[in-house]
Amino acid sequence: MEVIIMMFAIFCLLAALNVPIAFTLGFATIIPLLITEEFPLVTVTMAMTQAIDSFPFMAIPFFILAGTLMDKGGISQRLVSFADSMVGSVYGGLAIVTVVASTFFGAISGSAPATVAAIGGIMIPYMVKEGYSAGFASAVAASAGCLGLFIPPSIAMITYGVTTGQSIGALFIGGVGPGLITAFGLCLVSYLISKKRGYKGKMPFAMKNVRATGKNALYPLLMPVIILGGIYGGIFTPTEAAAVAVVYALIVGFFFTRELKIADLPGILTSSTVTTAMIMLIIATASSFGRLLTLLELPAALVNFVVENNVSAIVFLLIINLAMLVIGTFMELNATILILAPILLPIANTLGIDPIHLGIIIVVNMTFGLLTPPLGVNLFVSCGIAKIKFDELCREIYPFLAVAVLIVFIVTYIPQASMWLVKLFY
Amino acid sequence: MRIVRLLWKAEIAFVMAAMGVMSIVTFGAVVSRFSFHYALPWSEELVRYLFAWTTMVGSSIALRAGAHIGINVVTERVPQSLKKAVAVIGMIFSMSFCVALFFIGWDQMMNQLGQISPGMEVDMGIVYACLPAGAMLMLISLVALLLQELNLINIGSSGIEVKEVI
Repeated sequence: MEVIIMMFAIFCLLAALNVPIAFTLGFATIIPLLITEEFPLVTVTMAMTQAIDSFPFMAIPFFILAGTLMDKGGISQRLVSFADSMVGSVYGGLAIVTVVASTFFGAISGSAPATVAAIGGIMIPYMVKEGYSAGFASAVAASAGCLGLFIPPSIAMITYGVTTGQSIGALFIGGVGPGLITAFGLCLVSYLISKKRGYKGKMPFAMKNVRATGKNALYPLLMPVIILGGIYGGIFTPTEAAAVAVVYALIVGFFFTRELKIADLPGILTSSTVTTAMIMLIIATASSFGRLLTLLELPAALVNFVVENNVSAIVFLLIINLAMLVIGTFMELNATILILAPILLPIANTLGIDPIHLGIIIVVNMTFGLLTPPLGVNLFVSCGIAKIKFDELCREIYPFLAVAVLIVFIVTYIPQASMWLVKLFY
Repeated sequence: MRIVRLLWKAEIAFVMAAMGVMSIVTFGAVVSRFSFHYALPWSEELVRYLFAWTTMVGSSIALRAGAHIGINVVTERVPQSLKKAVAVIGMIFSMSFCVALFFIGWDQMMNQLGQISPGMEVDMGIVYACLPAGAMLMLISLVALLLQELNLINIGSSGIEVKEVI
């Protein structure tokens, strides 16, 4: 127990010093190992190597690369135009367009901040120009970015699936329901606020526009069909699906939208690798941190505690919800999933909670952590695009956070919200 | 310094090539299995090993790009006069992690040396060398960043063509 406290103490101390999370987690594993000498030091590097020498995890760089290629290939603009033609005419039209376009983009990208950057990058300046407040515009884009992690593919679901050995395909499908509920909730809030403030829609609805823009958006929107169809049809694994997505994005960018240039490729490859390396190094050191917690029998101790105290499933889930809302405010998403999922899964098993449902709960819960100050990655990206102060955005984010909390509870306590689609396929 | 800049160029060249090869090989494996009913025996191994190396080499680039996520709530609120000191202390912790990772990774690599992988039949020592090598590359980047923090050198954006970080 002392060792576990030491691990968390070192982690908090270094994290407070703004040491990168990846290093912080590694340090918090090595020092206790050095002091206690209970386990060999190689434990650290073995867990790290296993994490980065893993075929399932390779879906992450491929989906990041595919998303960047699609974005540079002019896909984001086409998705925005398509969404605009459908919902642009109502109150808060542009805000709702942001949400709908992010839903589409979520089906191409597996990352929330990437979705904020791609769609927010277009929509925030547009909204500000049309008279929306910059704070509101960036709040909408930041919260809609969460859809990147709900609508498949999703990096967070891959992390959970690989860590716990659950089917990534089932997790992907499970994210669709929560994704659509979230999109609806965000649209509703945007509409209500816009109506109160008089942000009018401007583009009149015409079926002709829907058809014209839809044609342009067809090829990017086929990508999720190929990915999901391939996975569920048993043609390829999620990692292979991601590589297929990369090639598909290249073809679309070069031959259909024709906005991708050979000269763009080095930059795209480098920036995708930098993002990948950042995520994977966190995954690597978080693995060794989690490995040590398991060796110290923390999961078993917690299961015993739950059994001895007759903790019910509802109470357990409530604790998860609250704990993750707090943890999500300052902790990196993948690291949390890697460390907590192996600890929570045995408890969920004894309580009869479906492991896929648990994964969806954790991902949804932690994703909304990207919206909460102080460490809300989505907020940073959004602020950066809108060039406003962080506080200005924070004032506008609360209505969206309220929706987020509501959705967390819906997803947690109404399993059908995510599981009925999963049951349909599996 | 010139050697270091060359090293950084090589890092970027390596990750770009590796990322390209990984995508092509994985896609090729699907095509090969699907249309020729022939599963390439070495493809998954090659891609995995490249991935491990790419992560470690890329982490060094990510350091210089300032892409590694940290928590700046506390350090933002430190008085201006102390900011530099706090940043330096943080960097020293990062550097000591890299030193530790280098030695532990080195031991692990030595243990694996001589083992042959089943698919490609390469020495596993080469695969496991990614940790000590990556740790060393990160250490070099960190030393450069520390010297820059102390206004001794200016690395600018050398070794990183892209600033865009998601």
